[in-house]
Amino acid sequence: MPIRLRVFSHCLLLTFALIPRSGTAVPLRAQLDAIFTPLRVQSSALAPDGRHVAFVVHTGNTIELQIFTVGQTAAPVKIPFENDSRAETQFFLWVSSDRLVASTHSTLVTCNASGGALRRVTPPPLSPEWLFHEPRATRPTFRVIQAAPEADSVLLEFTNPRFLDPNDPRIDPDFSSVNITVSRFNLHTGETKTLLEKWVQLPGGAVLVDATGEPRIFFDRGSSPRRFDYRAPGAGASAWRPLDKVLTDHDVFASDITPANLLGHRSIPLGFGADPNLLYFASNLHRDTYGLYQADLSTGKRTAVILEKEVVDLANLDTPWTPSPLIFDRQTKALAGVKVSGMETYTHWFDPEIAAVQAELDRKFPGRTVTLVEWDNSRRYVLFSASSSTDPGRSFLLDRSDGRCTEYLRHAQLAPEDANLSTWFAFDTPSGARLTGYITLPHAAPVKKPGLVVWFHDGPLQRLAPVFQRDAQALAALGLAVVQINYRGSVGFGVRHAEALPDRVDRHPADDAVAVITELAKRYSFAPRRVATMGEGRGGYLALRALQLHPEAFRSAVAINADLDPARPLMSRDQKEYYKFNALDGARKAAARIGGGTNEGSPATTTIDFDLLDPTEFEQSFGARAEPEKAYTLETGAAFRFSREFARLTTAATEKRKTAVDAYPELLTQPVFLLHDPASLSAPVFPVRALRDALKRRKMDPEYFELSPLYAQGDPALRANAFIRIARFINSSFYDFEVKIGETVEKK
Amino acid sequence: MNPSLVRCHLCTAWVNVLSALLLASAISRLPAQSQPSPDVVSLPPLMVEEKGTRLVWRYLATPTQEIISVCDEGTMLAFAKRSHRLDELLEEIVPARFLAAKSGPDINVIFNETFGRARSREVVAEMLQRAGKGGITTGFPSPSGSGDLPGTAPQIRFLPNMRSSDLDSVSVFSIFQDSTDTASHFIFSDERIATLLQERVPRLPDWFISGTVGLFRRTEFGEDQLQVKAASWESTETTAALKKDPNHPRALLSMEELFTRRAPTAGGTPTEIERLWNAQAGLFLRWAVVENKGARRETLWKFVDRLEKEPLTETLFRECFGMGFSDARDRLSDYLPSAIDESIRLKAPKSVPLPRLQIRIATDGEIARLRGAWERMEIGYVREKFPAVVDRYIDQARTTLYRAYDRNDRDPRLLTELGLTEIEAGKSASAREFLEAAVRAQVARPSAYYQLAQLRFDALTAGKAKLTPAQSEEVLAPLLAGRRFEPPLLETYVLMSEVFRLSASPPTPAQLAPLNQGTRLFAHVAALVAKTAAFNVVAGQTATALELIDAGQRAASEPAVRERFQRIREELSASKQ
Repeated sequence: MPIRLRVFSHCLLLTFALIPRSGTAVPLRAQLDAIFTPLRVQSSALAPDGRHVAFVVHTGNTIELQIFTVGQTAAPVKIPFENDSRAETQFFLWVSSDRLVASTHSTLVTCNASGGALRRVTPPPLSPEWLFHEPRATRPTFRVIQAAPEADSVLLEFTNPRFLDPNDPRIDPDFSSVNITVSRFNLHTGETKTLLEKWVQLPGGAVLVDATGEPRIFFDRGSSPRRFDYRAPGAGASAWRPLDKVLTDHDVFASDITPANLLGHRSIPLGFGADPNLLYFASNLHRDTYGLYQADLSTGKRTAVILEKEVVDLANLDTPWTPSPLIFDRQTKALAGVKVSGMETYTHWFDPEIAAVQAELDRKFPGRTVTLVEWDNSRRYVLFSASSSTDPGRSFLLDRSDGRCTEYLRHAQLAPEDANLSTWFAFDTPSGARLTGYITLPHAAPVKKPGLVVWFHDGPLQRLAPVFQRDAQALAALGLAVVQINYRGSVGFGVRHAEALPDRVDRHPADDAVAVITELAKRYSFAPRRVATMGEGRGGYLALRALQLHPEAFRSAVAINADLDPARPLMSRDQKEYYKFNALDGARKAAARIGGGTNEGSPATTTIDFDLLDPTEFEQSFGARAEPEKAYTLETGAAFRFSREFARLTTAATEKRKTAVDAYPELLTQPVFLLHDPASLSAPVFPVRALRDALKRRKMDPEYFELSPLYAQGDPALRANAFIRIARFINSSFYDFEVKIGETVEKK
Repeated sequence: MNPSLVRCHLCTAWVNVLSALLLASAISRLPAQSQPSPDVVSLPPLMVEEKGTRLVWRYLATPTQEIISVCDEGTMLAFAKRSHRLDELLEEIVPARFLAAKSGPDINVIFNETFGRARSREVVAEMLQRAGKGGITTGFPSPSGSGDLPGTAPQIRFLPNMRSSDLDSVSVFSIFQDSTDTASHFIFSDERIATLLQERVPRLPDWFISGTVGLFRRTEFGEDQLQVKAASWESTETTAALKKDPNHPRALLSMEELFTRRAPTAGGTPTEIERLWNAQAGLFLRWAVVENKGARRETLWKFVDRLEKEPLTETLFRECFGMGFSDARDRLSDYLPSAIDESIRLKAPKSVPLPRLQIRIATDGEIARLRGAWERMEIGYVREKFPAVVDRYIDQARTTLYRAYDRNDRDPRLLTELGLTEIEAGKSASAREFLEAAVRAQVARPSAYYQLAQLRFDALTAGKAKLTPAQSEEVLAPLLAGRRFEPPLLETYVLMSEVFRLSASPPTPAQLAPLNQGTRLFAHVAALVAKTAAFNVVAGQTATALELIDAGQRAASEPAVRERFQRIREELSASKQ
């Protein structure tokens, strides 16, 4: 064979090889759709008498409740729950043996075990002005805090914005206050009784109640510092006072949150057990990780060390109560266990009987994370799930009388044989950093050593959850190995790891990525010289920044809805680029167009983020063209100041735009793919457009793809389409498919 | 009591008499045969020849069978070919290496249902009357298999076909009409497959036996194909619910439970969990052997092979199947709805033709040996089921066998049968005489060597004295000599250990070598393992003892036994250090 032809045929084979094979009978596109489709099972619940088990189940475009009678072969009772398949279940519980409650942030459904006595609750629509402020919201949000001690009642927390009512003296000049109420809601009659009402600034707050259903702690996220307020049992509505003034030994308890200690040392109240005077709290004062402790609120003293772990925080820094790491026995209200989220999630049980059940199930399901969801009052039945980072898992019911585990529902839409193996890793770098993460390997790699994608999670205050990672699975289905890293600055692994940000917001993650590639290349089969970076939000920023900082290590970068400058709120404020104008008329027009009424008493001015609005809509509303490059953020008030200060601290931005990607377009010398939603709330599009223009001027011509807002909401088809484009882009940066075939020469 | 008689009773525990073949033109099984009413006593048929009407027996030998029959040649040929084909088809479900091996070809005695049946009934009725059981009505099944004659309980019926096996041989009795069609369409019974799996040495895992039998039960064996019918699950209600809704809840055991649970006790009513275990074993075998065109069957069989040498671990399973226990459980769970709904057709392997078969008139020696062997093996079964008539069966066997011996036939196989029959009859002296001669002629029957050794042992230990080295050697010699024939016998090694126990001096490492080897084959017999390990410790072979303890621990069915082995192991390890 002439050499030329041989080369040609070699490349041709390679090209075909890089079109991912599905490896199974399921077509690749169907696999991607299955990966991005919401899990079939969102929540599960076991009735206190053990006679019924219920699930929140995704069925295509809607969500329904399915109620099974334990031990019977009858088909389940099915109750429509939500029409919006993207809605997330916030609360799901049998409040009694014959009363089930399911709730998203906008809908509550309750029924009995046979599906009867159905009641559906939705809050009234938002005022039109609020729609103008946040066009995607239609109703105030609420959450079910917990079952109330009264029969068939729950405690509801409403967050109700009323920011355009200037006649209300409680509203601050920035018009960012929200009204938060806690009510007891009778599931039979629909009657409510208000237990608490508070006005706070955006982004609002949350309430912690004790076992008797009384609101005891209020987390004010809009204050500066962010503060936990406390109220003694039976005290009046005005008896709130800062928790730090109740637990005054600040050597063991200090809960106020400032930008400086957000990632640092502080305490977090977590919950109450049977005794309303005993508070469980997490704290990392004088230690690296959050431990779990107990304090007596009547004496103000810490009373017990419940649990301490050396490498894992026992609290979620961002939303400490949803979900709570504490697990209480439904009947006794005693603390039964604490969830520990390391690279795998497990529960440290204090209840020896439940601990024995856990051990038994761990033996039955080796290699799975067995999560006990609930047990009935007699403890004969235990509802649990068994999952792994490769498999979202299945729901089971253990019958302890004979050890039988009945499988009820598989959570994933993806067939197990199509899942790609995902395993966690951990190692220490020469500089002493403890790096952890997950590597996902394609089960049907198109080449022996597939290329690698380094995925940066969205941060800060984030970490990789030990769950099924859709994005990594999708890339692996497309034939790429994927590594996800808890880079320095990620939370959950102690203060030293989380506080590694100042002045290194970009370099630490990039350096960590290089270290991880070097280490994992020794353990796994991938092409260490064919590595791309990728991420969404802050992760997108890091993907681009890593490419700028380590062009020798990475071939390309993919940035999805990237915020190109982590210090932008500070910079924009300093440069006085906020665009102020008279909003009154615009608000009226917008409200009228949307169909709501107008508010004659609206304020004269406010700050508006133009990028939140469609340009056409903007022009229709305000009668003027938007100048989006002059507006960056909507945030105002204390929350904005908090974020601004936090950004300043974590970027140590002594030098303006020192860490901004768009400040150094000349450093992007490798292929770049920018995917962006022009209406993104969290990442303005104009810097991305500006970067694209700058790169074009440098003859780089980055690939660009405009995303629908539905992408960020997880639309499966949009995600699948985008990832096919991404894989095509990454492969084109790894391999040269343009083979020139010369003239055919006859060989004599 | 005569010690040899005691031994003889012990032997009956190893005799399985089962329905061997299922004769049905539509290739269906007849459950009534394996589940007789408690008021019905099923007896093996008695081949009674009326004086003056001597039956014409024909003889046919194939590589795996010796057949004598009073049927016509066409029926015999059809039977031989079908047997051969069934063996080939069976390999698609379970390889021959997992079935019990025997020392020689199976003996098949094929009777013609038109001969001798009525006469047999009269003879048995007469026997019962003599035994003081008058008034009992005996009966044969009708050709459809359901025709027991009415009468007072207990009724007696004669099984249309039976498979009987002892320590090292198999004999099958079948009644056919003269019909090539019938002889071409029988299939093996579930019990036959179960016995072949259960008697295999080393012992197979229970889940494999149960699963293979379950799979076999769902399989129809045609000439050119196997049709695996839809699987059944633990209960009809759950099966129906799963058929209606593939997402219906289902219980499965963990793979570790599946692999470590023991089979339910035979004869008892299985618990829910035991039913589930049975169903899941069948599902696993189906998934591994049949699903995806049998892509995993070699993997499964390799896994079973490795389990003979390695402990059951998830790592081993993963090395074989490429997935862990939990993944495998999930795969089974996902496969279940289609398994209970699908019928799978497997293309049969091309048949390897038998060598040219020649049917001839059987010699007197062949008739006596083969019929006598069958009749001998009936004895243990009859003694257990209906001892009132056992003497008649013993007489029948002795008559048949002595007929050839009295004509000076000294075929060692005949001598062996005579020896074994004399043991059944409680005649130790003559039994030993026959067996000594058979062993001298190096008969390929390990039971002959073992029984001879046992007779010698009984004689030497009658006074409960310790054995001298020479006496030990006298017993050990036939045991060691018999080891070169299939199948290995547990009795050989149990007796060997008894000899060592009673020897005046402890065994040397060289003497222990064959016992160690045998103990590894029967590692599930905890007492043998413990005893052999102890001999090794005394002989200074602690490492070998530990290895045997490990094997015993792996194979032990009872948790308490496993724990005991663990304690022994720890003590031994400590003493080694």
